[in-house]
Amino acid sequence: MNPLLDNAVMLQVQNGQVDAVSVLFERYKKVLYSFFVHMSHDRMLSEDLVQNVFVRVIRYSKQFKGEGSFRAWMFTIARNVLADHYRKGSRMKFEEANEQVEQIQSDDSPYESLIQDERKQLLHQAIGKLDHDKRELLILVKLQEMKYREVATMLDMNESTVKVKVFRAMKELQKILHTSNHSIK
Amino acid sequence: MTKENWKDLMEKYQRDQLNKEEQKKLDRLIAEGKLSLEDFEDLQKLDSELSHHILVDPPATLDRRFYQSLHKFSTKNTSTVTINRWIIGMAASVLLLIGVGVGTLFNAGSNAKVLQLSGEMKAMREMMMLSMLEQGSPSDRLKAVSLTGTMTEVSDRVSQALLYRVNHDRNDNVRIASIEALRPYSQNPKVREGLIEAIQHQQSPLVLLTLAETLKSIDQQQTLEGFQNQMNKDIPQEVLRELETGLKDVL
Repeated sequence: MNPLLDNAVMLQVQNGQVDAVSVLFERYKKVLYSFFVHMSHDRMLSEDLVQNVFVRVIRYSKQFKGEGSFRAWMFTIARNVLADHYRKGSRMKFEEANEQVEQIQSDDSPYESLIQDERKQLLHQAIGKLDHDKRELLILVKLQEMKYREVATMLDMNESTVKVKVFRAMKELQKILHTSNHSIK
Repeated sequence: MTKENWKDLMEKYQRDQLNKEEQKKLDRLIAEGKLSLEDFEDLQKLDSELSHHILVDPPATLDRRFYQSLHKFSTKNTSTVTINRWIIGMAASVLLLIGVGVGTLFNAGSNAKVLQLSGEMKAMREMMMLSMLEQGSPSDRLKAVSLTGTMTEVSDRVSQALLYRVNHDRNDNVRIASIEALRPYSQNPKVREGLIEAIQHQQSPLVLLTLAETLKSIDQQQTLEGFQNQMNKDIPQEVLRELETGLKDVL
């Protein structure tokens, strides 16, 4: 996705053309939803959180200065939305969510469910077993292939630290998959 | 120093046999960008699996709820819109009933009926989408465009309706959303030609940039000059200036 287009659409939102936010919703709904599902293991909650992100995008649109990418700004909002949700003590805390590593069921049709991708299930379960910080880092890097630099800024780390941490998270993910005797071939 | 020099270190890492010093050395090489995931075959494989599988498909209710909220933020309700909303509501209910029917029959194992009902459901979804595309409010039309994302394939009727929106909708965001909705179908010659032809009907730099990006993604031969030649000759100078950098970045 061209970041120039995102910024131009945000300019429209800032000028009161609220409908323009739907262009951004269509572009990013899947990555945002995936982020929340992996972080919370709760599909219903993830839907609510995606809505909240876009409410904040509209509400705080004027704060977007266009200096960085819209995507990075949006994910900062997403992290805040998630943190606020848990801060309010609703439903469950991060740690409880980590423990509740359930199968992320597919919403596909019955036909598609029959040919559900087993690897995807295994991988999602393994991601769920990583601790919160590693999981968040890995998901942010892999979703939309965010650049290490962007993620580093967002998480207030330097780029080198992100590289090392991603490497370690990947190694741990690999170990989890091996331990479960479910290595991805 | 080449990667050959770190071969022992890499092999030890893969066997989980690094001591503290060696681990530090490896971390330093990774931090400096001298080693990356691509240098380890098994991690690279996992990385590629991860990129491929990390996305989770959102349910249709996500769209519905978003567009309902968006509608609250924007625009007035006219009586025509109310009537059309009633029709859409009815169509949605019928769709739901058919969906329940499909589920029941599927459980009962009646494949022929399932196929028939699935076909009817698809037709109904298309009808609902086409009807919504005619709505007065841009958020309704945007919602209609987003419905194509839930379709496994779109008929000629739907792709033509989207191309019409690309060329004639009075709202640029509907035009942009329609272009992006057509992107998965751009291998279809009619769609591709429609998108190329659409260049000449645009005045908005944003819409033109989206078109350029889409055409570039389907046709690597797309050039800046070729694209500019197809643009409407009456485009105001300030729009051209605004477009210049964006197009150079995209094409």
